[in-house]
Amino acid sequence: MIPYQFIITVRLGIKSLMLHKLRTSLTMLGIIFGVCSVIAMLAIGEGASYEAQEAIKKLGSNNILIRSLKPPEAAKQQSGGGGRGMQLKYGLTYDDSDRLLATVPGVVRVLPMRIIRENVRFQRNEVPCQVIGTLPFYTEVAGAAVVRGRFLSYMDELHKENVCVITTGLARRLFPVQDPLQYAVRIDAFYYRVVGVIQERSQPEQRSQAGKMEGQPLDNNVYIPLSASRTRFGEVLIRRSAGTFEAEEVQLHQITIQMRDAQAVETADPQVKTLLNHFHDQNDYEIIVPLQLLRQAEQTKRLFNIVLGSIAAISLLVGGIGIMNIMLATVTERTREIGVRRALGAKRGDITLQFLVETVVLSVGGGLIGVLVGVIAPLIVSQLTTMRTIVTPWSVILAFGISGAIGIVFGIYPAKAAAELDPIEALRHE
Amino acid sequence: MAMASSMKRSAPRCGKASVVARGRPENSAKDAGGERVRAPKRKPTRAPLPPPGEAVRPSDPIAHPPHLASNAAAPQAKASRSIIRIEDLKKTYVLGEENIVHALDGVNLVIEEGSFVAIMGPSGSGKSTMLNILGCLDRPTSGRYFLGNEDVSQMHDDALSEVRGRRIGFIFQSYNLIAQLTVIENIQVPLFYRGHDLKSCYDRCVELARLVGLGDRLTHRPTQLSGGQQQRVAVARSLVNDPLMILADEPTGNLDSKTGAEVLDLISHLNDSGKTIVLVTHDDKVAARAHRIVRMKDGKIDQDIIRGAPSLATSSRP
Repeated sequence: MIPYQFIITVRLGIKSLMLHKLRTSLTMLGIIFGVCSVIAMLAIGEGASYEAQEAIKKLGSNNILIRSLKPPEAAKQQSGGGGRGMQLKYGLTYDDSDRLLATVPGVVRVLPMRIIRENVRFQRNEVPCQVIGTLPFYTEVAGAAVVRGRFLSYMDELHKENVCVITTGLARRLFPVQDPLQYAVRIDAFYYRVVGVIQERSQPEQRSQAGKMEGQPLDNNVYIPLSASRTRFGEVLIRRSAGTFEAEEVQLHQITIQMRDAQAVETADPQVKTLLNHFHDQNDYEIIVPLQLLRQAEQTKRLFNIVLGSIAAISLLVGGIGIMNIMLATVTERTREIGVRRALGAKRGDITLQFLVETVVLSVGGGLIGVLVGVIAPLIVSQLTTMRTIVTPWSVILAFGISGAIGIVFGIYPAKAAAELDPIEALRHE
Repeated sequence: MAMASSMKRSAPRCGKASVVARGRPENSAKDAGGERVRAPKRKPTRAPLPPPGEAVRPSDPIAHPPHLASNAAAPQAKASRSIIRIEDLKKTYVLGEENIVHALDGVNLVIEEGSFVAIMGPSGSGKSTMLNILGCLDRPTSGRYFLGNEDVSQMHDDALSEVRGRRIGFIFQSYNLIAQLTVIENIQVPLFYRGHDLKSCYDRCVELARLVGLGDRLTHRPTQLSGGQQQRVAVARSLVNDPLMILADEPTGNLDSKTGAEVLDLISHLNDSGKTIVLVTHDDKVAARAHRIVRMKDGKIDQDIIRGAPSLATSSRP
C-alpha cells in the first residue's frame, strides 16, 4: 500500500475511534496506565539505586574500609553490669594500621582515623560534630577537595598543632558572616585555628549514607591532626549517659586502605580479614568493601527493575487485553460496514489493515499520553517526597515500544476476524 | 463522467422488441450464452419504447434454438456487447448429509451492455444467491460466469474483491453508507480500494454528487440525510468506479413510494445514458421500469421477458 493510502487509513481509524470517545478513552486508559507505570516505576527504581550507588562511590571504589565496632557481647555485659568503673577496650589499633600497610600487597596508603563526637563552638554558635583525627593525605584517599586555605600538613601532625579544617557545611553554620580562616573554633577545652575549608566528595544535599552514621549530619566534620587528637582527647573516651558513665578505650575508629586498583581490592579483601582476625580476639571491627557493595547494589537494582518492570508489564498486558476486547466488540458492531467495504472492492488485507491501524492508533495514542504522564509523575513524586527519581530514555523507549507492540499483537486477532468475515453474511448482518 | 465509456456502441438498430427463449439447464449453455443476439435495438434517435409486456412465452429452447437466432450478427460484435454470460451455473449448499439445497440449478443468462434487467422471484427461488454470484460476492459450485470477458466463477477471494471494485457498482436496500464518513468520502470509498489518489478524483466525485442532486451536501454525514438522499449517495458511489454494471438489490425497499420513484428515475436515467443495470426486486412496479424481467423459480429461470430495448443513448445524452 502506498503511504498516501496508509495516511487515509490512519485518518479513517482515528475518525472511527472518535465516534465512540468514551469507549476509546477508557480503552486507552489501560495502556496509559501501563506505560505510565513502566516509566514511573523504573524511574523510581533507578533513582533509588542511583542514591545507593552514589553513597557507595563516595566511600571510594578502590578503598577498603575497616571500622571499629563495639563487640555485641561486650556491649551487653556493659549495660547489664551498670558499667560503673568498667572500661571497655575494643577496636582497631595503631598497630593494625602499621601491619596492614606493611603486609597487604597492592596497598597505596593506609589512612587511620579517630572519630570523636564533640560539640564545636565558635562564639555563640555550637554545632554537634564529628571531630576526625587523621593524616594529611585524607583528601586524596577520601576524594575531598580543598575549597579554601589548605588541608592538614605533616608539620601539623609532627607538632600536634591545634589546627583544624572544617567542611563547607560546618563553615556555613559556624561562620555565617565571618571568614573562617581568620578564627579558631573551640572543641572541648581547646581552641583550634581554622586553616582550611574542604568539600566532601558527596554533595551536601546527600541525605543518608550507606553505613551507620547514626543520624549525624554527614557534613559537619572537623579534621584535626591525628597526633593532636590522640594528645588532646586521649585514648579513653568517657561518655555520660543517663546517670552512668561509659568509658571506652578505642585507638582508631576507622582505617581506610587505599588500594592500587579494583583488582587489588579483590585480592586484598581476604588478606585483610585474615590479618585482623589474627590479632583481634573479639569481633570488634567490620570490613566494608565499597566495590562489593557497588556490585550488590547493581544486582539489587537489576532485580528491582525486573520486579517493577514486570508488574508494569502486567498492567500493560491487561491494557492490551482491554484493547482486544473492545476491538472484537467493534468488529461485531461494524460487521455491516465490513461487508459494505468488501462489496466495494476491499480485499481481506485492506480490512485487516484498517482494523490493525485502528488498534495501533489506540495503543500508540495511549502510549504517547502514557509517556507524557509517566515522565511527569516521577517529577511530582520527587517534589512531594524525598525520593529521587531518574527517567531514563531507554525506559521511555521501552514502554512506548511495548505499547506499540501490544497494539499489533492484540490487534491482529480482531483484524483477522474482521477480514475473515464472509461478505454476504456481513452485509446481511443487522 | 461515469457513463462515458458505455457509449461506444453506435450501430443503428431497428426498434422492435422481441422475446427470446431462455435455455434450460440441460440446454447447451455455451451456445445459449455466447451466440444469441438480441433483437431489441433502436435508433440513436431514441424511438419510443415498445409497450411493455408485449409477449411472454415460456422457455422453449427446442422451439427457439438460440443458435438460429444468432446467425445474423458477427461474433465480434457480440463479444463486446454481452457483459454478463452465465453458463449452467449451479450453487449447492450442503446443510447436512441428506439435506442438500440446490439454490441455483443450472442457470444460463446473458445480459447485454446497456440493458436494464430486473430479477424477480419468490423467496427461496435462488434470487439472492443469483445476486450474490452476479455481484462476485460468492462463487458458484459449478458452471461459468463471465463478467466482461473475465471468467470470475472460480477466482480467489482477493481477485473477486478487485473485480467487485472495478466492474460492479452496488446499490443496497438499506443504503449501506459508512456512518463515520461524509457524503463525498462515501462516494470515494471504491476509488480508495482501487488505489486511486483521492485528491485527483475529487472533482469527479463532486460531479457525481451533483448528478444525484447532493452537490450541496458533500460534508454531511449519512445520519444527517433522508433515506432517499442516502440512497442517492449510494447511487453516486456505485457510479464512481465507472463499473460494467450496477447491481441494485431492492433499491427502493426502504423508501416510500415517492422517494422510491425518484431513485428509480435516477436509475432509469443512468440506464438511458448507457449503464447496464441489474435490479433485484419483489415489486412489480419497480420491475416495470426494466426492459427485461427475469423471473426465477426453484433455482431456475422461469421466465425471461423482454419488453423494451436496451437503451442506446449515444445521441440522447444531455
